[in-house]
Amino acid sequence: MDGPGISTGAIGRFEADALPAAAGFAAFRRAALDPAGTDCRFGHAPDRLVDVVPHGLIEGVTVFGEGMPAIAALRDNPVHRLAGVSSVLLNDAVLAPDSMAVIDSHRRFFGPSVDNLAVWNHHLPTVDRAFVDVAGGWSLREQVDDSADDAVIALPVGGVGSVNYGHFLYDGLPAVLLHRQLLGPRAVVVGRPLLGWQAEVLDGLGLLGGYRAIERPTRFRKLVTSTMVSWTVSYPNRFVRAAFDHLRFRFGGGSDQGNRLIIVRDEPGNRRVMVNRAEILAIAAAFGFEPVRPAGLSVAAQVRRFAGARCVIGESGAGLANLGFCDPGAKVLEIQPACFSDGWTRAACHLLGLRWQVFFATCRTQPDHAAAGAFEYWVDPLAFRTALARVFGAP
Amino acid sequence: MSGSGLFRLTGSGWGDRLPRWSGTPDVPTQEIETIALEDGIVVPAPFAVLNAEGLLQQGTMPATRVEPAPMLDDGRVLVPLAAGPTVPLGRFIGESLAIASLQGAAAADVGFIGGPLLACQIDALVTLGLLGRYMPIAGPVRVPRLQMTRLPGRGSLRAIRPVIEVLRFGVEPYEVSKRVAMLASPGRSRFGRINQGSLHAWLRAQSFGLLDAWAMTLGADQLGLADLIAVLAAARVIVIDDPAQAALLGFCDPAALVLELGVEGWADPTIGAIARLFGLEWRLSEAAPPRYPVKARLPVGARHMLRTEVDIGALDRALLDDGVRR
Repeated sequence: MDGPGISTGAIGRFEADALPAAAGFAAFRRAALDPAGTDCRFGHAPDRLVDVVPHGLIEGVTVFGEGMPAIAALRDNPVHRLAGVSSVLLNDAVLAPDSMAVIDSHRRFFGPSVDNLAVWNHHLPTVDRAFVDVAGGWSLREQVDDSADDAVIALPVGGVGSVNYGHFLYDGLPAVLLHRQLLGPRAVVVGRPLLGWQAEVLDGLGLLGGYRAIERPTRFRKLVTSTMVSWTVSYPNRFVRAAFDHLRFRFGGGSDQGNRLIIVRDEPGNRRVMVNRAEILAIAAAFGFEPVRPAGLSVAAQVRRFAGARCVIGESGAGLANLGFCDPGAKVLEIQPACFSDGWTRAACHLLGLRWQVFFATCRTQPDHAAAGAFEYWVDPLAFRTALARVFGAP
Repeated sequence: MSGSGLFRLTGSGWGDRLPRWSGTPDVPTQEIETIALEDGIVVPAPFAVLNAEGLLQQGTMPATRVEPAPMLDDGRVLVPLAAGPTVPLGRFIGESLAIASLQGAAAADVGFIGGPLLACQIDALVTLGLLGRYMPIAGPVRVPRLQMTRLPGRGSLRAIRPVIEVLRFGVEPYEVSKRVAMLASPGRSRFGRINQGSLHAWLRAQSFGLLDAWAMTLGADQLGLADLIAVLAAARVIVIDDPAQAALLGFCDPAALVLELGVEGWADPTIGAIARLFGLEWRLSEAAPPRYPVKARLPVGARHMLRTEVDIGALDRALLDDGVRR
């Protein structure tokens, strides 16, 4: 292991702080626009641990269900890591589109561009056909194309895992959007050919017009990326708000449909299975909650549904990514299996100005590491009904 | 949180306890309203927008009527912005810049019109790439095509977050002081303070840097916009009393502690709403209302509506409770 993330073997890796610091963003911008500008970094935010539930862990008020060990764990460690954020400017860097891995002119991986591999299988050649195993690491198997336009500043949209909705919204978009605003029209978004929903998101942000889709590893004269391309979905920071807020305004106000939503996570293949889902949905329906399956909606429809919601129930996981579209002050009840410790929703709600509550569900089986951590859990219907009455009241 | 005597400290921000006043720290969610006006009048200072018939649409009705200068109709749509030396930076960023950002993103050919800009206002428009679209005016102007946007909630709307985030993204925090007091100067506040000297002495003793967002100074140091953002981004405890500068709190990083100095009966929800918008912890220290009839005429020469007293003991407790771990 070369750093906190993924071992890169023979190619090696570097972190943002290995580059010289630019003296202010104006200097960083000049270096990006100037053909002779050298590799550098700019630090937007320091690493910081913050208490995200300073008032909130009160049983029967904000914490419900059976989960004493989980509650105790929360109390012991109610902090969230706001990971430091830095941007880097690289000259003659290569972007491999399948994985969105970035390699600098010294043939080293930009570490954060591949660190999300830890969420999958730690093996780059599995997710990117351009790489092959070599003794002690990975190597590019393909010839690298050169970008035709030297004037372009390439902004890779995300890192490994950017095809995942949550990772795209949290890890990919925010820095790209902010870089585009601060660096101007020469900065263009680059990446793999877009999925339909990705194109809709970029279009909503005004970033689709100049999008450069690449099929093979491509060298760009100037490339700007950031440390946000990995782990931001796990450790969200303040800058994630930018993309959500822009999309919220782009796609307009709340839906005229109900303002109480329960996110349903019942797609085949889900690793965490609620065994009494039908019963829980029926209880929620009695409180006016409408089931919503975001994956079946267009991005615009998702934004509008969540923008109009004042009360949201959802199970821990990527399905809660859409909370970013809720307006501040909305109430959130996260159903969290007691054996599945996950703090990103709590942190995201804190950053987004949402009121977070948690219902701990009982795990029927323990996570099966042979099956990607799959397990079953049960939500106590009586306690759930009490929680809804306490948190949301009558419809 | 507790209170005693004339003054009390009220904790809030996450719904566990509400202040005594009826307002809540919720963020307004009303719709943003944009209106097209033909031959509308823009008055730069104090900022006002009137319709063709001279009826006030936005801002403050001018005390005296001045015939507006005509403007050639070149087909361009202009968006009026409150700007210039009479506009607090917080209001400029939270309202004017938010409107400029939203409108500028929606249409590339829309322009902006308002008073002559201050240096920090120019910096902000340059950062967003909008300065070239701004038309400064010195006096009232009749504009053929105006597009006026109203933000409810005095700029405490979610709409202000994108512009704050992009300005913040372009700055690296540098810590001058982890504790910053951003107080209105006595000449600009509606409220006088009996114990202003004691408050300042306490702030200095607690290592607060004194930030004057009107004068753009921190102590004796003059600040540019980037400096101001950097100082606020690094601060972890902020004392504030002026809702007009509340939007500047958006530059603080999440979980910073905001101690608002308010007056019971004259409470303003803006600072609490901004704190919720940006994930900040908010405490309100309310001075009790004055014990004299406030409806009586103010004495000749009076500079303030009220004279109040900050409960420094309560502030001290708040800092001990919440400030030391930041």
